[in-house]
Amino acid sequence: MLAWLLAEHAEGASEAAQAAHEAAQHGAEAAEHGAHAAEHAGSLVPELPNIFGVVHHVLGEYSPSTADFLDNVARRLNLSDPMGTPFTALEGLLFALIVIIALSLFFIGGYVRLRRSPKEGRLSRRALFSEIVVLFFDDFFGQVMGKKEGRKHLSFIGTLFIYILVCNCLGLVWLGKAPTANLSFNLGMSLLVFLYVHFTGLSRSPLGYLKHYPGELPAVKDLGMGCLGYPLVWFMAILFTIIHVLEAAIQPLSLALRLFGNVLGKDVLLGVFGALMLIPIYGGISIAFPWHTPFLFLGLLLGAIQALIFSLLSAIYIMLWLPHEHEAGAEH
Amino acid sequence: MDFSATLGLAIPLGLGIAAFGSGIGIGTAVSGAMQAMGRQPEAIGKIQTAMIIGAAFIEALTIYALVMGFVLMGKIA
Repeated sequence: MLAWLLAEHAEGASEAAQAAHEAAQHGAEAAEHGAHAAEHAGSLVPELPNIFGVVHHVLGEYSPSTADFLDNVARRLNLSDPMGTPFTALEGLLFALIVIIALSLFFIGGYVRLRRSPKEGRLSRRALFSEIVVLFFDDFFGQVMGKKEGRKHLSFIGTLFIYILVCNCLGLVWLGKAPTANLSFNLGMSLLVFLYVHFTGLSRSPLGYLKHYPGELPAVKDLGMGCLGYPLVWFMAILFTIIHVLEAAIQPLSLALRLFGNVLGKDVLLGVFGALMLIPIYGGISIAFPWHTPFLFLGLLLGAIQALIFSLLSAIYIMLWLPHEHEAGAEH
Repeated sequence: MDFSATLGLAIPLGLGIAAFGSGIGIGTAVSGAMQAMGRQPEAIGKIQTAMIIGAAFIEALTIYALVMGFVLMGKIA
């Protein structure tokens, strides 16, 4: 799918220099919609138009009651988008649902088909692809977490990676918007990671989990202060507990903000270059040139890197909050 | 000096300073990675992966400044 996307955009870049009239139609519509629909939809940042935004724009002209109904649906669901209206958040949500349904049909459907009728000696291409993906995760996260732990948490972290990767790439497709460009969406995912990490740590051993908070404190007799050692060590324990509680709270926030900033920055970059597409020549005629093509490749690279970082960091957090074995002599 | 003028002055300045810090940080990280790759060419794959991951962490700090820029941009009258 990704190779097909790349081929389509590369083809578009080479065609534009030759067939400007064809590109003018697409570019004119897209740029006009992009320049107006972004303001019409009320988003604060310029973005390329997506299919639901175009539908909303057309409905706003021909039947405003349906457009108002959609806005009310978004407001009733309490959707919020810090960079736009509730309707742009609804667009992101619908794209996320499309991604979920497509990925589920692909992977779960392939698994069901494999279990039901195994062809002798011939796996389908879907099964082979899934195998490559899972082996990559097993290798990579096995290095980070160790083979045993990696196998246990493989499904969660692998799903995060694939989901974020596909969501990021939706921002590069024509008439698509990345659901991860919405901060609420990323905060939801990092909340899920937070709950998973701490629940895993707690269920493994509650005492070991609670021992993470004070940290490793020096023994009282090592301090050499005699009687004053006890209040000092208690003071350090309380201080470190506060620091670690803050650290545990900041970790999911940083995950969400990193992903949000990268994907929104990429979308805004594409939107700004897309609005520049129209070059007016001579009167009312204008041609369009896709300036934003190199940034599509950059966006693909950055989207993949951010998906990797998100899943890798959640793997590292799982490892951090599991009970470690303390060395002798450093116990409180 | 009213609110919008102050924001219009501060936001690009803040982003520039954040980009400056990120440039130095990522330059240091990549320079260390290049030296390690030069010493051990057979480990280039692993070093490259670690370098990309480290660069994404350092870049995240600049992205936080960019997010604040986006949030404040909406408050310019």
